[in-house]
Amino acid sequence: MKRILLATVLGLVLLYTPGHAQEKTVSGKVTSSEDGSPIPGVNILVKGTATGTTTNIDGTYTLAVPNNNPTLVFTFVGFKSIEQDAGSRTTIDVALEPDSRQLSEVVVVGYGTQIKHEMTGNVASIKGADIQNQPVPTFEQSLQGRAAGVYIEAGNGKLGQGIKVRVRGSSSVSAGNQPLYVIDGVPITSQSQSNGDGDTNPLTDLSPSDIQSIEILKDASASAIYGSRAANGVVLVTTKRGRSGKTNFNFGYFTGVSNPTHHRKWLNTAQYVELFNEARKNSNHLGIDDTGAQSLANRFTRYAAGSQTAWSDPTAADYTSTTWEDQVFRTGSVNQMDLSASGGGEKTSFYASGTYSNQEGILINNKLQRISTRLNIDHKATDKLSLGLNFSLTRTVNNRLGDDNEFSTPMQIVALSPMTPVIDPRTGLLSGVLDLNTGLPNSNYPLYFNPLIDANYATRQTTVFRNLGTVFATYSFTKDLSVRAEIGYDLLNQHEDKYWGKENQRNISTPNGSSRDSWTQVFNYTTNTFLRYAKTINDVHNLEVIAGMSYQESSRDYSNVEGQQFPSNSYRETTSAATITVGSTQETSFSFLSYFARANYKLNNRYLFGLSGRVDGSSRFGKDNRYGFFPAASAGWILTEESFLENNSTIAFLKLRASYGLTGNAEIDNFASRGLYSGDAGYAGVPGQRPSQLENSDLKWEQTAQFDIGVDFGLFNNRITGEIDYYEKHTSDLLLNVNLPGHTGFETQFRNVGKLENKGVEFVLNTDNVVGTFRWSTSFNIARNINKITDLRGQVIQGDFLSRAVEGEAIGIFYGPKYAGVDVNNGDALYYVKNADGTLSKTNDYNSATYMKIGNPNPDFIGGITNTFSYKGIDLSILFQGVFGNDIYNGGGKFMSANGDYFDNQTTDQLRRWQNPGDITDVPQARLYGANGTGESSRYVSDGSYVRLKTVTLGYNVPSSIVTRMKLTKARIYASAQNLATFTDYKGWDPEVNSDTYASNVNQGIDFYSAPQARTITFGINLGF
Amino acid sequence: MKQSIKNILYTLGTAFVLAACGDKLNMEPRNTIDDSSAVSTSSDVESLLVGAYSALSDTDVYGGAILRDAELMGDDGEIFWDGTFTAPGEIYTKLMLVTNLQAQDTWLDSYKVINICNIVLANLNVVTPDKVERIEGEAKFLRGAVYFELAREFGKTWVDGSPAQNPAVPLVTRSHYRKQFI
Repeated sequence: MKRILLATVLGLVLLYTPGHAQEKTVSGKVTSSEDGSPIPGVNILVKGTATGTTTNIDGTYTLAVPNNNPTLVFTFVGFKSIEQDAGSRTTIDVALEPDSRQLSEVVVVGYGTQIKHEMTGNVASIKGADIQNQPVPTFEQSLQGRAAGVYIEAGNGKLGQGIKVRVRGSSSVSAGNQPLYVIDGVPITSQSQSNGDGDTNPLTDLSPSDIQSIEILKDASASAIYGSRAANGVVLVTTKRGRSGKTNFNFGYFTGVSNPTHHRKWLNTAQYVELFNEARKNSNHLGIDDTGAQSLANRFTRYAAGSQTAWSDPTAADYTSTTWEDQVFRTGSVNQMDLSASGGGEKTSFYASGTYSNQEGILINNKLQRISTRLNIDHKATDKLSLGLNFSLTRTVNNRLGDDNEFSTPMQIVALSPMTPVIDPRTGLLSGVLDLNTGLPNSNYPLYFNPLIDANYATRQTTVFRNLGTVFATYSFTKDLSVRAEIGYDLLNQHEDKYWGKENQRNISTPNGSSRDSWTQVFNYTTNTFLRYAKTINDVHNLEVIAGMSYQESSRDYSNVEGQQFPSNSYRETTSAATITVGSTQETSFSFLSYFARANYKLNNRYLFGLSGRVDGSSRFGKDNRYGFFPAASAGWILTEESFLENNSTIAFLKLRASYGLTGNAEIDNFASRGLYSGDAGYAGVPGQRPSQLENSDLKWEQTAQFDIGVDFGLFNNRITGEIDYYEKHTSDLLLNVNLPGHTGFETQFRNVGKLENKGVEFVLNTDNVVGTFRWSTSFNIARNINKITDLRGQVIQGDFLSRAVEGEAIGIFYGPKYAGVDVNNGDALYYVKNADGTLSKTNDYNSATYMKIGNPNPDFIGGITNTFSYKGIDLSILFQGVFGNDIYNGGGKFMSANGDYFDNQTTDQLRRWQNPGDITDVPQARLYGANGTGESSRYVSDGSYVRLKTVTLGYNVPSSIVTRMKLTKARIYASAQNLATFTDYKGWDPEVNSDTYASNVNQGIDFYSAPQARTITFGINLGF
Repeated sequence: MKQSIKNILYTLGTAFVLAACGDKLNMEPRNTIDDSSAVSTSSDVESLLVGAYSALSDTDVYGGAILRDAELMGDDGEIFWDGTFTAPGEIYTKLMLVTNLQAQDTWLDSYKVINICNIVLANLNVVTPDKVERIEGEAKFLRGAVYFELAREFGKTWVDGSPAQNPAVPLVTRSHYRKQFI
């Protein structure tokens, strides 16, 4: 009945031959050809069916197969697959050959898969197994150093904050620069949904344990199938699926501790007093300021909780010298437990998992907790129809911190004076909580609001419920032609619950506490329908064509309520607020309607051709430019299939490939093209409206034309394999927020103006250095990208501090006065001035300094090297990751390294200030309120290059004899270290930095009291049964 | 039926199903409204005029800055400016840099008021007849008041050169709305 119904719906008549061929039983053993050891967990499949099993711990298997001379396929990760015709045999023993290079591996591409060695595009492929069991909040962080040309940077060490990912450089100035993320065929919500405290990362909701593979589509031939959103690359995440056969259980647990990668050194009380006494005297002397000695002493006493001896007499019992940085750092912890089951029968297979992870950050009050479940099901309904379901539900709870530019964020505690005690002896409470004279929190003690008050009397908790689901079906019309339909959704439900108790009065500027509750719901759904036609003619012509359409719609609802005046800290919900200060609701949406097609043609197994195209329409584009076309073409030539290289023992594989195509960028505001009025212009309770945006009906996608030429090679029996690529990305019609003449009544408008380019090379090399019982393999990648803005019609797009986007330079360069050191005679800070003849001279007048390029936050090179060793059951993997040639701007420099300009505690390097004529130093004379060298300049630019010992893992696989006795199939214990060592000249906390307050396309490499990364040591166990 | 013919038929059938998708790209903004329908009735124009008052009350216009900066500029030793904000400090010391953010904000926010007044004046034809005079009068007054302030703040003083010929600020009396600039 079901079949008849189906046939009616499709308007087709199906031929179906029910039949049960006679069966027989085949058994055997699978071993490694290298050492003859049994291999457990090998997948054995009857070719062309879903019937299969996996080998036991001793490598043996038993499988019922049909009696019609079936072919058995043996596959196992790290080994070459083998096919065996069963014939009349009932015992089939197989020796698998190791194949760490895997040129035959299957790679996920948009709307399908391809065999890696037949690909004409550039795709970085990372196996889930390589990035599992890492103590990082989100999976992208485990990709650092593993994918050539993919620059990944966590801006600071707070858990769950936004992460910068740049695939082959930045392709936009004002539109998005992050790649498109697609999970199991469905584009997901990856943009931050945070309201305050810096960006969050919605990818944190995906459990890394569920990931089978990650593919990063880098060149146009790979990514153009994603059209108007592919210019920044596409990251495809594929989750694990079950296979028919025995049900395998996997249990994993790891636990560990974490610490900051680096601490900074700060003045102690004696040094602080010395520096500021000197600064005061200098400023008195120069007539800058007339603060007297007694006035300064009174200030010190105020900062020392009212005790004069606490800062002046080292022998006094209450003498205080607090290292504030230590108060906000702690030893963090990480715990993760996951359990999964996968398996299936002849028709249905499944993968089910549950993961719990709990990370306590290295900063006080920072925590990330995730509970996730997933169920992936595949079912073969008939010979022609298969269908399935992916379903995951995650709850992520993130105890967040203020952004880097809040007095309340833990790291800003370093600004407090060292003579201030943590606990105010007058009250027995945290310094700043209570002023006995007023009964309220202190208003001028300590120097600034004490972040420990926020940590103890405020909460910022974000809870996200995330549900990803897909239902799909594939129907084979004929042997060659099939159709796949899928509908997927991504539901994100977020509650940001914030409360500040009355102790925070100095920070929140309101007495008796305040609260803020924000709810965000994003519903994002996609339908994909596409035909696939694949045909091989005479083993000469291989053709695969897909064509279909996709529709995506995303809507976001947001509501927010804020209240003030709470009876006590016991009341934290807004219902108890005496005053409701803010109530707001918002809605927005966007949609994409797309038609796409791709054809891959292979001739004689050696000539490869690919063509793809996508027509994308989006609600975001102007009504006069609704649809864009994004084509790509590519070709490849496998030279080793030619007679002159066939069976060449040195060159085992050689392929040349080239591609060219267009991709787009549509990451702009949902209604950026529209002329808009806002109804927020009421006055004194009377409703009012105002024009808020100027129409640009011509607005369209930004277009990137990318050319890529590459070679894939395998030498010495594929012991050495690699890829070399050269690419050029030319972006035109930049989506730019153009400045308008102010007398129009508008400030900016989104226009398609300007051009930029990225050019680069990527080099990947994988080698099997030693094979045999002891194995050593190396995987190395390095990439160079040169970014250059070629046309902005003369505009300068300003970021914060000295970050700029200007023509002729890379995006985000630091542009400003160049620091020329210290005048030997008088201790003045000096800057360079360009004279009319082009020569440079020095001036102590900051305002007359010439603005010039003083740094570039974009790295020259990024790379990584992984060495893997194994001997019998022991394995060791070491990953070094490096970023070279980038600069960092310390935005907090003018406060923390300002030679005693104001009372912020200073970094110890300020002690080498100029003191006497003739002193040669780079720190100017200390001058209180003197602004001597504190202007934004290259004084606060430093080289941010670093090499990091990113991951070291030492594992031990318990021998099978013991494992079997324990009724297990696998047992592995391991110890792992993340960020174990960092080699850098950077003097700040950590060179992997971009402040969450400022991070944007233009603002890169900015350090602003940004927390360092965590160094984490973990111990774990994996059991299979 | 031959295999290839079957393939073609199925392909055409699927294409037919796919092509049946309607135009799903017409998303409408909800937090804001399209300008084409924003000013079409008398009450629309009236609430736009309220918007002009709202814009006028901005801290960079009559909300404070224009009044404060006039004092800072006119000071001859009677008052003292102290604080961490550099823009008013530069006005006080009469050493303004071209990057002075207060100058930029006052300029931009003042012309926002002028632009709204111009749109109000351009749409008097939809206003209820007995309200036209009041609305026109208010819009012209607000526009004139802002021009008066802008000329005082950005133009030369009356003793500098020839006041009748000295340029002050661009006089914009019609809305540039919907037009393109570069």
